[in-house]
Amino acid sequence: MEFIGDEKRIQALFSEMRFQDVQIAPPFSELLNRDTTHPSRFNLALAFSVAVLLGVIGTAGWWEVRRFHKTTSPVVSTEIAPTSSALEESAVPAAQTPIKRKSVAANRPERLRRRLVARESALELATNRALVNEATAISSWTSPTDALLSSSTAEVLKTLPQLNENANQLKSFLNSSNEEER
Amino acid sequence: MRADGTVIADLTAELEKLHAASFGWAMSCCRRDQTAAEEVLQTVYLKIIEGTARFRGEASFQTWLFAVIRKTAISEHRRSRLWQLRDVALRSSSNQSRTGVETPDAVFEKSEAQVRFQKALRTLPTRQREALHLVFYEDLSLSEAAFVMGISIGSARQHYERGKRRLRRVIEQTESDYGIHWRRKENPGAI
Repeated sequence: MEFIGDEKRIQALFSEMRFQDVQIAPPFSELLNRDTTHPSRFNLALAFSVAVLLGVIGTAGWWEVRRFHKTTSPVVSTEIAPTSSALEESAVPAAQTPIKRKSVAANRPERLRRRLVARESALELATNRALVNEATAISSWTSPTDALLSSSTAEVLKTLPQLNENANQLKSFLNSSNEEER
Repeated sequence: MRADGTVIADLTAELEKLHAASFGWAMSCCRRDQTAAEEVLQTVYLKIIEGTARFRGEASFQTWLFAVIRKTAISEHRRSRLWQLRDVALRSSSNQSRTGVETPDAVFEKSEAQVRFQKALRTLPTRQREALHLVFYEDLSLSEAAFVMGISIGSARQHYERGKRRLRRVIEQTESDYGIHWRRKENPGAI
């Protein structure tokens, strides 16, 4: 190849480099017969797998620590707790209308989300149980003026007339007399 | 499969004849790291003599040998990248002149222009550096360089031209930094 202008200069520099390389080049026979044993060649595949493994372990550890910190911190509920007055107004047992809580853990990873959902459902259950108790108490409520309506003759009004016998005895007597008549 | 005795002798003779050129090319492929170049060259010689790499006559023996050296250097570089990182301290303490880190004496022996040139060469992209090396250092034609690099002749020509332009720019820049100003003959037919 013919070189002209700058190419000649570049070629001259390359020639100088070649001259230096020839001086430092080891003899062919020496290079060919040189001991090929390397100081413990690094296994790239092994190193890569170890690095990946360490990475996974590190990430898992970091994630666990992060999760621990998150779960121990208080979860803020966005819900307003129902008051007893509101419950009285509705007059429907709370168990029939379970309270819907906003899921705080909507965007959390699966494990953390499941745990938080379980905790939320436990809280819901406890709240609902308290509401059921309140509802039971309300259903057995009696007016304080009931006592004014009671009298000593109230019992007489509620029972059948008797002839020295209680109602059960009268019934059995009536049954037996009817059978004899037949 | 091992080649027989006469073939081995022929191959060895051929390799010995091309040893200096092969070493220069191996040095270029290993970014002027002498130890790496020697290792690559030894691996290539063993590959050829043991029959792992076989010449099938698609090109001249020299271009085929250079292609094998290039591929081996790339694979060795990939394999030993981490190993080299680990081994840097050990090698630098044992023999600095063999690792591409030159001793002050060696640097002094080189001309300033050569030092600047090698620095400029290191800034070039690999393909461009390879194209320039094969053409200027090894006196190969562009088609032979393309075969060695495993690319088309058009791409080789592009790398060659771009590399030349870029090398000239870098050299001019370094020369102006050093305060050297001299006009060279412009040849419009060069590019």
